Amino acid sequence: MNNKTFGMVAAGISAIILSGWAVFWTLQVMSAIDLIQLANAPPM
Amino acid sequence: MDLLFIFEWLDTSMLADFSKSYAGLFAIVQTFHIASMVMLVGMILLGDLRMLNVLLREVPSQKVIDNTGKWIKIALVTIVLSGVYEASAIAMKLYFNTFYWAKMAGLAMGLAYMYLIRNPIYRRAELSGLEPGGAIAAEAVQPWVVKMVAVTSLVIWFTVSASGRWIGFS
Repeated sequence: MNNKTFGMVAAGISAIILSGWAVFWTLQVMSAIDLIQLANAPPM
Repeated sequence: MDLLFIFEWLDTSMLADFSKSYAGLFAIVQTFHIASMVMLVGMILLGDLRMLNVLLREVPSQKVIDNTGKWIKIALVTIVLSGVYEASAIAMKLYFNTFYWAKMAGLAMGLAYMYLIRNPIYRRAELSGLEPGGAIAAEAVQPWVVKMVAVTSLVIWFTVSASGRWIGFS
């Protein structure tokens, strides 16, 4: 495989990993915010 | 595939008897485990930051990758050996711990990424990046690809370290 093709394969795999990582942490932060809001919610 | 039988076997093995009986030895092995992890991530950090042109800019990148490579292998062997010993003491607890599996998945992904993508890209970047005149060869690995690979590598190993640390909190 020439350098250019291998570079594109590497970039594609890296992009998948980075976007998966970003989605995972976004969900984690959103869930943490939900928990904080629940903890501070007035009693029902 | 359910790996429970491996953890059940480890939990009742002679190694487990030993690791559960000698707390002092466990602490010493844990020291080696943590020191090796620091060495592993430190060496990876050196290589990745070199490829991002953050440090050791005057040293040829291939030299940095080659030199850190052998210490990465030594660290990995020590991590696995000390890790199995440590795991034997709390095998069943680890099996049901989500962050243990996150760490193992991250470790497998990190190793696959390092040997199949990161190292070959760094080697190709060094070998083909510059023509004798100093211009970037037409078929060279693009600099942005090298930087993207370096950032991805850092992200993966940060996640492995964070998951490993989180086992202690969960």
